[in-house]
Amino acid sequence: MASSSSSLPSPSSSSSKKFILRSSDGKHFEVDEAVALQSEMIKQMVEDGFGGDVIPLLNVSSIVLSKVIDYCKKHVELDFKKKMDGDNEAHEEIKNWDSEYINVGVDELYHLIMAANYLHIKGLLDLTCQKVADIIKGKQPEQIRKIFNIENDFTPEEEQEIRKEHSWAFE
Amino acid sequence: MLMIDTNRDNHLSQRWKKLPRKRRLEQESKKSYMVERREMAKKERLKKERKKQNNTGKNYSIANLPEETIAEVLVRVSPYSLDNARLVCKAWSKIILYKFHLFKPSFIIQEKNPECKDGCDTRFVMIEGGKIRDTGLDFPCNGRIMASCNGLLLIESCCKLQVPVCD
Repeated sequence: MASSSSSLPSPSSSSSKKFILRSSDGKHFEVDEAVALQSEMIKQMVEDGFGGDVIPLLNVSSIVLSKVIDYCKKHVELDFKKKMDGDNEAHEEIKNWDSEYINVGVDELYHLIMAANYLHIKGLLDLTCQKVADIIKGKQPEQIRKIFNIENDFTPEEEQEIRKEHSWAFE
Repeated sequence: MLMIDTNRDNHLSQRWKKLPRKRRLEQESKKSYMVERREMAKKERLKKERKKQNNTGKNYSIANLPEETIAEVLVRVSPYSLDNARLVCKAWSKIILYKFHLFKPSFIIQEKNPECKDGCDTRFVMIEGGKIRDTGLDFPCNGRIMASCNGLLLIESCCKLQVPVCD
C-alpha cells in the first residue's frame, strides 16, 4: 500500500483523500474524494471495499472522462458554495454553468450520456438527457433523424398508419 | 535489364512449353483459381472494413443508446413533440408505445421548470373527447382517482395531492 501510493503522483498538498481514475485509453486522472463520489458507481465500489488506488473505468475514454471530471468538480464546488452563501445565488450559477457546459455537438452528447449512465452521475444524466429532449422538441421526424443520424426503418405504409392512428389526439 | 528480362521470359515460356498439355491446363486453372480466391478475400476484407466503419459511425449516434436511456430522454419531451418522435424509427415508436402508456386515458409528465428550484414540474395530461388536454398543475379538487401510470395512482383530495403506490 505504502509503496504503491509513493509511486503515484500527488501534487496537491490538500489533506482530503485522493482517487486516481484510469480511462479506457490508460490515462490517469487524480481527483478529490468528493469529486469521485459524485459518481454513484464509484461510491458503490468504495463502499463495497474496493481498496485499490487506481479505479479503472473501462468504458470511458480520457477525452470524455476529463469532461465528466470538469462537471463533477464544478458541482462539488458549487454545492459547497450553496451551503455557504445560500441557495439562490449558487442556483443561478449552477444553471448558467450547466447551460454553457452542455453546449456541445450530438457526438459529444452521446459520449457524455454513455459516461453519465455508466458512472451513475444523476445530475449529468439529467442534464444530458434534457439537452437531447430540448433538441427533439418542436422538430419534425425527418429533422430529428437527420440530427441524430437515425435511419428511417418505417415503410411509407407503416408511417402513414402511425400518423393516422394518433392524429385525432392532437387536433 | 531488358535483356535479362526477355531472357528469363524466354526461359520460362520454354519451360512452360515443355510441360504436357494436361499439366499446363491444370496449372492454368489452379492459377486462375488462386487469383479468384485472392480477389474474393480482398473483396470480403473491404466489405468487412466498410461495415466496421459504418458501425462505428452508427454507434456514436443517440439512436444507439440503451433503450432505458432513450426512454430517459423521451420522458422529458412534451406530448406534442413525442408524437413526432414516435415517427422517427421503429425503436423509438416501441419505447413510446410501451413505456409511456400513451394509450391509457391519462398520464403524468415531469418536465424541467427553469423557474422551479427543484427543477421539476409534474404535469397532468389527459385525453378528453378524443383530444389531449394539458391540465397543468391546477386541476379541480374532487377527490377522485385522476390517473394511473405504471402502477402509480394519482388521487386528488381537496387541494392536496396524494400519490399512493399500487401493485
